[in-house]
Amino acid sequence: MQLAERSDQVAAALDIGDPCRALAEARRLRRDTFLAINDRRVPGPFQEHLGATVNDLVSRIDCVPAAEEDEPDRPGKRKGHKKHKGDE
Amino acid sequence: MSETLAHGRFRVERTLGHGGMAIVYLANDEDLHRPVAVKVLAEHLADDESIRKRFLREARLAARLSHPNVVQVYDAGESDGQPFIVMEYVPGETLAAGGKLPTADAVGLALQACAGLQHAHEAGLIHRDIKPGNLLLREDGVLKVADFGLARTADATHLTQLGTILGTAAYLAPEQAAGEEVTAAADIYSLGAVLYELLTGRPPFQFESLAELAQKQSSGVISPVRDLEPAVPEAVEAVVMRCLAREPHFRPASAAEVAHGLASAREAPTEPLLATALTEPLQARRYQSLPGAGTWMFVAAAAVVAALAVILGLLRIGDGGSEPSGPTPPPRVSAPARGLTPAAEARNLSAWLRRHSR
Repeated sequence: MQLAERSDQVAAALDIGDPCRALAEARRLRRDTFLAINDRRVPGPFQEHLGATVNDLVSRIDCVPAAEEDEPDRPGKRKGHKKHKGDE
Repeated sequence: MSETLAHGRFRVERTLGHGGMAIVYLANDEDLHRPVAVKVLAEHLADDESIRKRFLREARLAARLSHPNVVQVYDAGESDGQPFIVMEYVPGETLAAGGKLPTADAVGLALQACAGLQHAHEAGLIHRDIKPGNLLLREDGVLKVADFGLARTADATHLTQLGTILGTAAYLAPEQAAGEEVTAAADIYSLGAVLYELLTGRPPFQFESLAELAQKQSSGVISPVRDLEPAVPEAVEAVVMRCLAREPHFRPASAAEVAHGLASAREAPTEPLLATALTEPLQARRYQSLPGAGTWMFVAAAAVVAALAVILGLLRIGDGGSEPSGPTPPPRVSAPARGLTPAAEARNLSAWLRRHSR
């Protein structure tokens, strides 16, 4: 898969409110990016911008699963959606 | 020269080494009864007042440093018209004599160099010539960084014999080789280059001419450490490769950060390859250093290489192949816009990749 398509999938996962899938996709993007760099498929002038952006993207996505609505209340457990950094 | 310096205070015992700029003697401090190393500016350079003054000025700046991993400058002065610097004598050898080392040993030495460099950088001094020959290993295993500040004097002498330049060039940061203003990031690069060589047995770029080195620094790719030495932990490799980033602001922000990365790598050797590549910019701090006149050969070489780089063109990004996409690539590439949200950043990145993939 092309890096651009992988990046699109990160955006799409965030758009539908699935930060955990987005984080998984971002990590795959990072892996593929560094594989591409190490395979000499990314020209020198692009390597650092690409690597830095991908790292930044991964660091900005928080995977915090939403609380399950059907579960009965327990002491200390709050219902509702948490605000994810990736949902801002 | 006479057998003593400074009116008999230092009695010369033997020669420790000599280069184009100075001779280093082992001497005895007759007042304090301790061995010292005395570096005496070569006679033909001592006639040049500007060089003589610079030699002493840099020595006095370096004398402000006091750290276990920095060769201490005790004194500086002139004797019979010849400037000299009195330094701590370090019995042992330089890392230039060492060759490839086990990872633990190489990292241990690098940590000591980091400590010395961090101390100097905090004092506003940059070295500008970190290389194996300037890293002295005492017999008890303590590493000391030597010759702080003297690289500027060497530049002023225009002593650009090819052999000397080639011996040093392998460790010079690209911006330093191009004659640009140097910051502490140049020392970080040089330290990374030394560590790379300690781990793999060869410097980051192999070259037979300055033009070839300039070309490789401009557009070449450094082989990952583990391609050459698979036993090196991935996390150590990641730190070294960050130090060797072409752009100074992508390198670790300080020698302390390098040390932290190396120390962490020793404890957690399974860090993903390059996954910790730097995203934080280097502090824009200015240091007491100016571009060196002795880098003129690199500037000329860089001009030739810049012309070659235009001809080479850009390769395609991604999985689509590596065909050249055009004969006139832009000399500078803008980073993708960060975006207010991660989703925006991902979309910007996607657009950036497509724009440059074509």
